[in-house]
Parts: sequence; structure tokens; C-alpha cells
Amino acid sequence: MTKIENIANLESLPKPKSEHLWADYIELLALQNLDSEMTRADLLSRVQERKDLGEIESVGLNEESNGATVDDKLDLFINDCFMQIEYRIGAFEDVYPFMLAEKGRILRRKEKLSSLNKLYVFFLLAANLRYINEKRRHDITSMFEIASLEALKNYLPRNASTILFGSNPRNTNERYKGKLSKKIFNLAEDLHERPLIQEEDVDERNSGDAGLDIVAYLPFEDKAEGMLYIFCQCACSEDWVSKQHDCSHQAWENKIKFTSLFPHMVFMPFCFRDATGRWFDHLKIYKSILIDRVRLINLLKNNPESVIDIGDLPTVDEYLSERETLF
Amino acid sequence: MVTTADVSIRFIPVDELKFDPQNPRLPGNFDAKDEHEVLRWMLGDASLIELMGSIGQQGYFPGEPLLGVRDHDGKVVIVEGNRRLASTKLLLHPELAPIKKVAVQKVALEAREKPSTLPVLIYPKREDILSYLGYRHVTGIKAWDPLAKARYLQELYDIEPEVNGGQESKFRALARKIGSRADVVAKLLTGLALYEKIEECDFFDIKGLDESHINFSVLTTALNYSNIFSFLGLTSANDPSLQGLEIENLSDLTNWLFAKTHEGKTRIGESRNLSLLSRIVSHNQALKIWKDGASLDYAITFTETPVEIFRKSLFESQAQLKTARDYSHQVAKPEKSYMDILNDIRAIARDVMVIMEERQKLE
Repeated sequence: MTKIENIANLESLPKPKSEHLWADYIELLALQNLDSEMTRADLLSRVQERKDLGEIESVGLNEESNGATVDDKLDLFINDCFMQIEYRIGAFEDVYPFMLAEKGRILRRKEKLSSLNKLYVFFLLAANLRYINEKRRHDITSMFEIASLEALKNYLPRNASTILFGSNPRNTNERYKGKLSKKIFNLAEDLHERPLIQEEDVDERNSGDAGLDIVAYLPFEDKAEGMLYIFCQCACSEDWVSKQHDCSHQAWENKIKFTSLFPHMVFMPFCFRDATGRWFDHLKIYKSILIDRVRLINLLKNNPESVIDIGDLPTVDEYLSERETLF
Repeated sequence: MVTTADVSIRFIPVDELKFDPQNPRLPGNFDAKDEHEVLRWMLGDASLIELMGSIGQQGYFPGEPLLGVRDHDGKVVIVEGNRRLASTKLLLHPELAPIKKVAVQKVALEAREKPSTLPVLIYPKREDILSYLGYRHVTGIKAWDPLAKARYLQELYDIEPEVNGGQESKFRALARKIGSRADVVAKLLTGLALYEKIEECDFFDIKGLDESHINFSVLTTALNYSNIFSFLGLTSANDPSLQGLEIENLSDLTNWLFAKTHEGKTRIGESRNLSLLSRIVSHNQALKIWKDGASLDYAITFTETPVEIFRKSLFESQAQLKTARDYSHQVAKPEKSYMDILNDIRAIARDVMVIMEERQKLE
């Protein structure tokens, strides 16, 4: 049993029918394993053990169907999860902190982890907050915004400006700290647009972000209206699907008078892919540009200096030093 | 046909026991005579660590001898019991582990027992054992149901000596004995404690309720939801002392889970509805309405859930319709039913729109 003060508690199983989250779970378990490895058989016995607690039912593997027994279905499912891992080995290359050994039967942590390997572990933790001690979650989510901001800078041309709009304790820009109304006025000014709200429209105790975490814009040298900008949201929880429009043009057009439509991006630490590299479920994405773990790592890996601190977060190091007990 | 008179049970030194090169578990293209390779494969595939823990904790149970045949070199090939043999070999020689070295070393180091001989029933020929193997590995031994397992664990718990580190160490010791994990042991024992409390309270005088009508798994499943164990007054689902238990709430939960209505159903129905119940019990107004007899579907509308469902359904419908539009040009012969469905969708969308507009005006 994992102690409460530990960073992670991996006792419960991931959600049903979400192989990408199960692949994460296998990685998290491998990091906590005494030998830093996880076999298919280890996962199978872990899942079967939880059958008595009714959990296997909650992951939707409890019914026999099409002649397949529960054990057959479990075996197939675990195979699918390991296929996800095979995809990740190719997609993340050297940044992936694991390798498959023993003819693909064992996922093993690399012995020495580079800063980029640790950055991967950071995204892994950020995508699995349900397993993380509540006291650590806020630190992870605010750091995830910083990582997203750096990734966005690498995506855009050098003359792009970025703003951390979310209420993030790491924000050093005084213009975007404090009351929401002040932040909206300043944003309109920076974008050379006109605010549509009055100060009294927003509760003065509201120091939130109205669903907007990051803004990037490409300024012209003049001050006239009209330029390119992107509104971004950072989402570490699985309800990103229904919240992906919180920073869209539609959601914000009653706050600022925009000259033109603009795109919005959703940054998420999930590896939202199937085993072939396509989106895990494209129906969940609508009119949003998704930046998942694969895109984040690709954007950051060539400029690791900007994010070295993130991979070396105490939370990451502490997690890497934690080990689950054997029994 | 081999009779019991033809076989003899012997205690044979572990070093004189060999793995079965024809073990059906081993992959085809595999040098099964290489002990190192067999251990490598078994450690990666057969959850040996748990078995090592169990044998290391309580020794080898002589009531379950290995089954083997004498080889031409005088040693014995184990046809049945290769996992047990591998576990014992690793307890004696942890340095043989090609993988999982740290875990093997740790279990061997902590083992109280390291049997140097194992009981083996020696048969004249391999074929004499084969028919039995089919029953054991294909049909299999019927595992106990969760309630039986929990009762067995309770017996073990009661005879387990007190150890430093309190309850958690005791759970861990039991887990090691049965080759499981401490949190699973704790949760099964907590489920059993609740079950016995219900029994002690005479099933809260619920009509027709007795032991045969209580599904133990439903109780342990309910304990997976933190809102439900908090509702019971418990601070953890892993504490069989049930500290803080509010009997009235246990009475309510028992009613909801197991009491049959006049239609012969329980109020919760299928166990997947426990996730709805967990939301209801954490919300005062929803709980009050649910206690007053409202249905699950109605009570849930008093939680945050409906707004979530609305948002999610709206986005999903939009995405699904977009997919249908993308493929619509591939439909050469539209069926009449497609038109009916599309009309229906238009009407539903209009209804939702009207409601939303009304709400906006009220705002």
C-alpha cells in the first residue's frame, strides 16, 4: 500500500476503453517498480487481483462476449496497451525514458535519465493527476502552463509575443496579475482591440482567467487594429473535451471586440494518440488545435534549455525516487 | 492407468529437480533445457515474485507435491509445478535471476523459509501426468468468490501475530502469504467488516434480506468510491475497524443496494450506477431528494452532473453530425429513414435552442 505522503498512489485502475491512459499507467508503474520494469504478466495479475474489488467491472472488461472469455479480453486489451507503448518508442525517440526488453514483454526504465527524459516524466505526471497527491497538483498544473508557453514560443516565429494570462503563481508580468477585469483591459490594449466590458461587469474579487491561459500574438510595428493572435487553454484533466471552447472566439467575443476570427489551441499533457499515431478519438476534437504530449515534446526537444527546470522539478525527482512496496 | 500404488512421494533436493522442457507455457522457439532462460521467461511472464513471497513466508505446503518423472541422468523433471520450482530455486539462489533482480533479492532476503527439498510425486512416465494437467490448467480449480476470500483472510488476520507498524504491516504480511497486495487485502477485510456489521444489525430489518441476498462484490465496489465511504463516515476504504461508521447511513446504503422494491428491483440496479450514487451522496440537495424516494435519474439532476452531460452531449452530437456530413456524398441511395432521422435531429436541435434562448432571456 502506498503511503499517503507519497506523491503518487497507483492503487486504482485507469478509466475503461482508454488505452492511451492505460499505457501511461504502465509507465507510471514501471517508474515505481523496484526493478524499474513492468511486464505484461505483472499488469495482468494486477488487474485480475482487483476483480474481487469490483474494479475490473468499472474498466468494462468483466463481460464475456463473442466467445471471448474475460481472460481472453484482458489479454487482448493488455496487448493493445503495449502496442501504444511501441508507438511511443518511435514517436518520442530519445526523449522516451523507457525501452521494451525481453522481446517486448517488459517495459523498462532507462538507467540514466536526461533532462528531456525527465520532461517526459513531468508530462506523464501532469496527465495523471488523479494518481497524484492533491498537495502537489497545483504545482504541476502551473508548471504545465509554463511548459506550454515555451512550446508555443518554439512553434511561432521569433517576433511573436506571448502572455501568460492564467492565474499562475509563476507569472512575473504585473500587467497580467490580479483582477480579471484589469487583465482583460490590458489584453485588449496589447492586441490593439477594444474591450467590450466595463470594470463593474466583472466581480472585483474575480482574479480568474475566464478559461484563457496563454495568448500569443504577432504584432505589426504600427498600432492600428488587426493582427494575428492565438488564444490557448492548458488542460490537465479529462474534461478538456467539454471545456475546449472556453477560450474560443465565440466564448470571448462578448469581452473584446475582435477584428477577425482567431484560432484557439488546447495544450494537454495526454498522449492523445492511438497505436498508429492518429488522434485517439478525433470526434472529441472540434475546431480546436490540439497540442498533446507528442507535439509538446517535438516542440520542446530542440530547445531543451528553456524547459530544463521543468524536468528537474522536485516533484519529478521525488516521484522517480519513490518505489511501490512489493506486497 | 497408473494407480496410487505406482507412484511414490519423495522429498528431493531442489538442485536435483529440473524444469520440464516440454512445458506448454514456454514459447516454441525456446531452449527449454537452459535453466537460466527458463527463469528469465518465467520471471517475465508468470508473476513469480508473489509466489516466492508466499513460499518464503510460510514454507512449501507438502499437501501439494510437485509431479515429476525420473530423467536418464537420475534427476527429476517436474512436469507439474514449474512455477513453484522456479520460485523455490530463486529463493535459494536469488543471484540466478536474469531480470527483476532487485525484487528477487529483496524477497529472498526477507524470506523466513527457504525449502531446500520439495515433495515430489514421481510417476513412471510423463504421459501418466498429462491427463491431470488438462484439468488443472484448462478447466482450472474454481477460485473462491470474493466473500469466501475475505472470510479466509479474516481467519488469517485473527491468527497473525501483532507486528510493529500496526495494521498496515499486518495487511502486508497477509498479502505476502497469499501473493497479493496490502491494499487489496485491506479493502476485502473492510468490505467483510461492513458485511458483518449489516448482519449484526439483523439486515436492518429489511424485508426479505438475508445473507443469500447480499452480493459482497457490490459492497467492495461501493468502497471504491470515496464519496460513498465518506458518506458512511469512514475516512478510508482500507480500514476494517470502520472507525467513524455512521450506522444510520449504512442502513440507508444497505437499503439502496439490496432492498427489493415491489417490482423486484433494487433502487440502484446495476453496479455501474454506483458512480451516480456517489455523486448524489456528496450533494446535500440531491441526497435529500433521493432519500425521499426520487429515482436515480431525477436525483442526479440536482448535482453538477446534468450541466456536464449537457455540454458533453452537445459537443459530441456536433462532432458526430460533422462526420456524417463529411461522408454524406458517399451515400448514393438515401433511405427514407435517413430523412426521418434528420428531421428528428432538426426538431431536437430547435427545441434545445428555444430552451437556451429562454434561459438567456431570464439571465
